[in-house]
Amino acid sequence: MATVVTSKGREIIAGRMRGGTPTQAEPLFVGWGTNPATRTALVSDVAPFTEATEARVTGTSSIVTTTTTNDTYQVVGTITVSGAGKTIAEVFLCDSATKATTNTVAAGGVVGSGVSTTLNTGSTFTPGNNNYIQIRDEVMQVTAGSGTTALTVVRAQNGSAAISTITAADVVTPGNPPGQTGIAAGNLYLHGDFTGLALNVGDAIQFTVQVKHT
Amino acid sequence: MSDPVEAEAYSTAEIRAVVIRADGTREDLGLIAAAYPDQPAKNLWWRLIGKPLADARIRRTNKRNPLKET
Repeated sequence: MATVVTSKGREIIAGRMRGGTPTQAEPLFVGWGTNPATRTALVSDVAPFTEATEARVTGTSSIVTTTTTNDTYQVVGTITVSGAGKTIAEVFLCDSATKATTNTVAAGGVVGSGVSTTLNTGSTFTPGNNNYIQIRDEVMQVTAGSGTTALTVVRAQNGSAAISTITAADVVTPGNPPGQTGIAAGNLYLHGDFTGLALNVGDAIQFTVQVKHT
Repeated sequence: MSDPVEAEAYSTAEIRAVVIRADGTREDLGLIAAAYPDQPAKNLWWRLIGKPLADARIRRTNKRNPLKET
């Protein structure tokens, strides 16, 4: 179980510092996910493990005090379950309300392999060549095949490790590592995982996320 | 031995949750996730005490409010 400001989050912070009117958007959008494989959030993450169907919400941000006056960034946001009950086990902050278009892993290729460079997907997948994706906690770069169901990938990007535990039906989510902007809505600032909370339709979680940079 | 994830992280972060049930009932679960990479004692507290207590609170609310079959 972990709560981390990602490596992309560090770029977001730097971007917010620069200039009188920074172009980097504030990362106050709150999203959640199911994290069915109970993965641990890592600084190398560029996307949530399995984002749930509910829309991201615009959180309410503020500056609060933890140790010294006004040293902590806080975002409060509430998400309500719709459609079907689910177990929520991850939350994240990002700089856009727009969700990336995800897909699922199909048989062969990276399934069960830490070295294969072929990603077969359940349907046509178009993250864009040279953009990045995440499956479980591995980040990959797509180098060819975007727009098909057989993509060529470079494994273990952005400091992540190649994993051999990818299974068919795993979710594939595009996202941006530092220095990359190819994925709209792909800037993950903070990622946290926790023991799953069972929620029925109409139930909600009000999250309060606090970050103190050291 | 420190968790390599936490050793690489550099920001203190805390996540608190209040569950609001469909009937309006509120359950304050308090701290459900945290990281204190620059505070070894507090990090140890979270690992040994804080996290198990958080897990217990979540398990209790899940037991009281299980997922309904659809």
